[in-house]
This record gives sequence, C-alpha cells and structure tokens, in this order.
Amino acid sequence: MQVVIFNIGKEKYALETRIVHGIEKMMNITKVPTAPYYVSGLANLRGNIISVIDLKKYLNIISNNQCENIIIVEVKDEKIGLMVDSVQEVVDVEDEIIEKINNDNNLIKGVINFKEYIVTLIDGENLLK
Amino acid sequence: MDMSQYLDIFLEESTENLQTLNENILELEKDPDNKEIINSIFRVAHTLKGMAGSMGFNDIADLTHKMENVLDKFRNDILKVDSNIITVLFKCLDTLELMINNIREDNNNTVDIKEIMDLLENINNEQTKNTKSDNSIDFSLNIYDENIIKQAKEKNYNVYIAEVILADDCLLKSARAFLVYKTIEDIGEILKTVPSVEELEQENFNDRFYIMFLTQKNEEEIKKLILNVSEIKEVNIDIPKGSDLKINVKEKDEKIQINKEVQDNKTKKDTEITPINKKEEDKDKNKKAHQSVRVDLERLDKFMNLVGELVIHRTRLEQLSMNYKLTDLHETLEQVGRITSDLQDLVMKVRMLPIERVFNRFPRMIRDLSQELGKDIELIIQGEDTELDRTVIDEIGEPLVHLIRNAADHGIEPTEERIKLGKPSKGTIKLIAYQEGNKAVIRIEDDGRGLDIEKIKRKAESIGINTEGMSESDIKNLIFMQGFSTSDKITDISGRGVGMDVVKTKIANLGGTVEVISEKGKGTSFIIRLPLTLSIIQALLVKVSGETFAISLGFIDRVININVNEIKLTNNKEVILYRDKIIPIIRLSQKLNLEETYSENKYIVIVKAGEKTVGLLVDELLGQQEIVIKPIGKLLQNLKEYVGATILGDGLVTLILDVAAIV
Repeated sequence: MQVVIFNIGKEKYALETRIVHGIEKMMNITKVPTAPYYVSGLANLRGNIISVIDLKKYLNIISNNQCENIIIVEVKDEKIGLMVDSVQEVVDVEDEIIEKINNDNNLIKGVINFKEYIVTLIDGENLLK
Repeated sequence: MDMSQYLDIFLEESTENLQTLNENILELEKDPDNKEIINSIFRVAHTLKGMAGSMGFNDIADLTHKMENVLDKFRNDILKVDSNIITVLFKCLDTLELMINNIREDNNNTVDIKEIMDLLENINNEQTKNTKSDNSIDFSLNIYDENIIKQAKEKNYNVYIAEVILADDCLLKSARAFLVYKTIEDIGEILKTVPSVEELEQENFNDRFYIMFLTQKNEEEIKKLILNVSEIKEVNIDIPKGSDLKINVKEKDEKIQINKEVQDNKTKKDTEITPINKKEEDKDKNKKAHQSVRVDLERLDKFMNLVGELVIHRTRLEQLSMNYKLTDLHETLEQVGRITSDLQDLVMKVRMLPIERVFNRFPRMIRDLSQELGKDIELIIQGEDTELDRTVIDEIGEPLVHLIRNAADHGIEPTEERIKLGKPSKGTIKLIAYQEGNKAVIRIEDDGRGLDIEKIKRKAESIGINTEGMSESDIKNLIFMQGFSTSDKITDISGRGVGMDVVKTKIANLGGTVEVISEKGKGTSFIIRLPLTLSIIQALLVKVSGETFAISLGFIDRVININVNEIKLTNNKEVILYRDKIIPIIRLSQKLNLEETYSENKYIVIVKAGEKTVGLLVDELLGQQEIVIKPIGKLLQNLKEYVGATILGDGLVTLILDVAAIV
C-alpha cells in the first residue's frame, strides 16, 4: 500500500495515496462563519471551490505549528482539502508492519510501525462521516 | 453486445421522438388531410421502432409497429383520421412513454400492451373491410400507355396486374421489389407500378405493391417466376377487364390532363406538392441545426469552470502588467480580456435552452383537459423560443402544469355559462414567454371568470387572516398561501389546496417571483419572472467584519448610507426610519457570529424577500459585479445562510448570502 506521510504537531500521520488527489502549498482560505469549528473555510482549487478542513482541530491535536500544506483527498466523489503542518514523504508500506488497533474511533485504520518511529494511518473513507 | 452505453441515448431520443409524435398527431387532428404531417409521423414512428428493436425492447417495437400500420392506412387514404383513432394513438403514445420510463427507472414493471394492441388491431381490421369494398388502386393510364396496350394486344401481348405481397419479416423490401420488377421486365414490358417506382425504391410502401405489365407469358408462368424471388409471400395476378380500360379511355380527357400534369411535375420535380415538401424539408433542416450536438451537462460545467479560471488569471496578469507598467503587455491583455468575456458569454448561451421544451407538452394537455372537463378551450402559445438556463427549464414544468390546470378547471367557465355571459363559447388560455431585461417572463392568461375577492376574503378570515386594510391585489395574492384553496369541490384536476403554494415555493427556489392579476368576469393572469440563468447573477459585494460577501441584486431594493446613531430601538428590535417607513435591521456581523467592527458610518442594504422588507447592516460596499455561483460542497451544504460561493477576479473565494434564509 502506498501512503502519504505528514506531520501534525509532534505526531506523524498517513493517508492512502489511493484517495489522495494532490498535495498543494497553503492557499488563501475564505472563512465560512457559522461553519463547524474544524472547517477552516473554502479555497479555490483551479476554478473549483473546495472545503478545507483543519485536521489539527478535527483530530483535537494541540499545536502551534504553521500549516504548510493542504492534502486534497477525494472521498465519495467530492474533493476536500486537509490542512496539515507539512507533508513528509510518499512511501510504500508492507501490510505486515501495519498494526490494527481496536478502538471506537473508526477514523484510525491502524498504526504503521517503521521501528524508528510510528505513523497513525487515517481511514480516509471514514473522514467526515 | 453491451447495449448499456447506448441506453441513455436511446432514452433521450425516444422521449424526444414521443414528444414529436404527440405534437404531430395533435396537428394531424386539426388538419387530417395533410399528408406531410402523416409522413413526418411515420418517419418518427419508424425511427422509434428501429431504435427500440435494436435495443431489444420488443414490446415497444411491436406496439410501434402496430401503430405504424394504422398510420400507413392514413397515408394510403384507406382510413380517415377521426378523433377516436387519434385518442387511441394518444393512448398508444402514453403507453410507450410509460414503457420508456420503466426502462429509465430500471424497474421491472411490465406494461400490459395487450389492450392497446387490440385497439390498434381493431382499427386495422376495419380498414381491411374497407379495402375490399373500396379498391382504390388507381391504374389510370396516360394516352401513351394506352397506345402501347392497343398495339401490344394486336401482337398477342396480354395486360396483367400482379399484386405482390412480401413476407412479414422481409428486411430489404425495396431490394425485393426491385428483383420482382427486374423479373417482370425480362419477360415483358412494365406499364405502371403502384406505388410508383421512386416510392418502391425508397421503401415507401407497406407489405404489398402492384405492377401492371404486358407479356406473352401466361399467368402461371409469371407467378412462378415472381415467386422465385425470395421473401415473397403471395402473388395474385389479375387481368384488367377491357371495360376498365375503356372507362379510363372515356374519362381520359380529364384524367390525361391530370396525369400529364403529375408526370410533368414529376420530371420537373416542381409539383404543387413539392414546394410544401421543400418548406418542410427546410424546417427539418432548421430543427436539425438546432439540436445537432448532444453534450453532457457536466462537460459544459467543466468548460465554464475553465473559462472562469481563465478570467481569474487574466485579472492577475492585468495586475502584473500594471505593476511593471508594460504598455505592450497591457494592450495584448485588453484583447485577451475581450476574448475571454466573449467566451464566457458563449458558455452561458450554450447552457440555455428554448422554453419550447417545456411548452410543447401543453397543447396535448389542454386537449385532454378540455375533453375531460367538457369545455372548449384553445391554447395560444407565444414566445416559445425564449431561452432559459437548462436548470430552470428542467424545474419550471411542474408549476406551469399546476397553473394551466387551474386556469382550465377554475378559470374558464363551462360553455353554457360563457354563452349566457355573452363571451365567446370557446375559452382561451394564453401562454406567453418573453425576455424583460435580465429576467424571463412567463404569463399564463385565461379569459375565464377571474378571482372572486369576496370568496378569498371569507376563506382568509376562516383560517384566521385579517384582510382589513389589505389592498385588492394583496388579497388576490393570498391564494399563494399554504392550504389556501377556494374551490368548493375537489376535482381530479385541481383544488386540493396544494397547488398554489407549491407553485410559489418552486418558483422562489429558482430565484423567481410569481404574482397574480385578475379582473372579475374578465380573466386571470399569472406572471412569473425568472432569472435567465441560475449560475450567473448580478451581485453586490459587501464587507462585514473584514470578510467579503456577495448579495444577489435580485433581492436588493436599495442601499442607503447611515450613521449608526440613526438606528432606533422599538420593542427591543433595531429599526431605522426610511422615507417614513419603519424598516427592521439585521446586523449581518451578529447573524454570522463575526466580531463587529466599530465605525459610525455604515450602510444598510434594504432587501425584499417575499413579503418581508429588511435592512442588512454592512460595513462597506465594494461594488456591483457579475458572479458565477458555484456549489460549496456537501460538507457545508446544510449551512442555510449561503446559496453558494463564487471566485472573484483576484482568485479569492467569496460566499454568496441567501437573503431569503437570513431575513
């Protein structure tokens, strides 16, 4: 499986490239008053308007780092931008090193154990359910 | 073979074909002798049959085939057009429509076509009886032919008429006919065929044709030779009696002239019929030119997005050229600017469709309604070429159906009553569309009894609305309220109290308005105003707490500059006095949970949404601009404060406020 690894705060997270449409530098985002707290607003992605979510807020992570990248994912025919601190790399991982974890939070698909560090694998399909 | 990829095309074209059939048959009822209409019906039915057959929808193909048989009888003057047959044909079209809808929805409902098939069969049988009593094959000959016959008879040639019936499943009818023709030509001389040779070549005949010829062979030999051609079901050889020929000779003065005319005309291709044909052809050509390309709406949307993008980047380039003060670049950019706006206009136009699409179903509806209600009603349609955005076209049908049904049911009086009132016995409903500024207007006018103000007042009071002090037109417009039906009896057609408020909501959803004008005893007019396109609007850009928002000009009454101290409190609500009117105020910053910027000098945008007039308090005005409405995505779509968003020239996304939801 190929994943995009990115940083939020002190943690590392990953998304399957299967659902990743592209990685963008930080864009101008228009605030949407009255939107849920984790929605940072709307951005212009080459003529299309996409909603941008602040993953930090969505996952309740406290961090003061500046967001550098927006990962564009396509879930259920809709493109959504995910604001992250920075994108680190795209790597292939073997299924064996992914450890399934049982928790109520079906947003987390498992943990990838790279020995030197661990990465939380997010289930993109369950994002924004 | 996988047919699914063709299914969409089949469905769309079949629906179109059915619509054309509906229109043409309606026309035929008015003008039963017009062969051109019958031919056109025939062509469309044939296409429908062919497509259904190749898609494997045999029921549809069978039914259409039966229908074609009936039509063929019209064409050959064997059957007269009457309203009974027309009704059966309409029934047939309804059944076909149902079948096609079932295919579209992919449900397994089967439509029972037996009943309608029987009806058609009956008509067909009636015809057969008729043919026998009234053999209308016309073998009248011209003087030249007659001379040949005379000479031939002297040389022991016989005149025969062969009736050739092709097999039911014969595919290449014209080819078979040609082979038969060839066969006979080898053994003798052909005098005449019915239908004519040209028509045989064009397969313009049903299952049989007739050939009159001279030969020395006898009947049996001829029969055998013709039957050698495959796919021939039956051959009947007749010897025309001498008397027949003589009659022809006797009447020849007249007939020769007619025949000659026909022949001359045929050679010149310039008959009295052909000019009409030509016109029709031209018309067809026009029609074809209008609908020559089918484009997926999604592609058009993408196209529009790309053009929008182009505009955005052009604006950026313009800013750059200003910064670097490059005159050459600036001039080129001006050109680019012009082209991009032309391009933008063009994309918009591509999305527009004539309202004819919606209107064309109404003549049929009025015909059915007038039969159902026993009223004589005429529908006059004007301005059906007025163009509207595709989305509006798709949505406006239903409200119009409501309004027209109402007009026919409640508006137009029964015939006796009309005569008593000294009105023409035939009621008239007018359906008029035209463009007015950047709005399209649709009027539905009837010359019926008009709205009964007293009745509406009584009804209003009975449901607790105080009508005192209301103007007459306000009272009339009460009919758009929910649950407001003044009809005493509920009919199948209207009067269930759901119609009018649904009409109003639907039109409001399209960004339009509807109002009613009525004079008692004279009639009622409904006036619908719709934006020409939904995707592009004129908007006012305003700034609230540092954020930019767009407000559709359609809602804006006026904009005034005020000092915040002018805002007064009444009943704990903020209002302003403007031209002696009290206008309630909504602070947009509060409504949108934004931190208010302090300034004494602010603006009030006075908006009208339905009956409400409200002032929206904003910090700054940024100007008026044409904007493209884009959806804001599933994630945020349940935020009711916004109708969508747009991308401005500088590439920034701006929210468009939904005034109707805010006030």
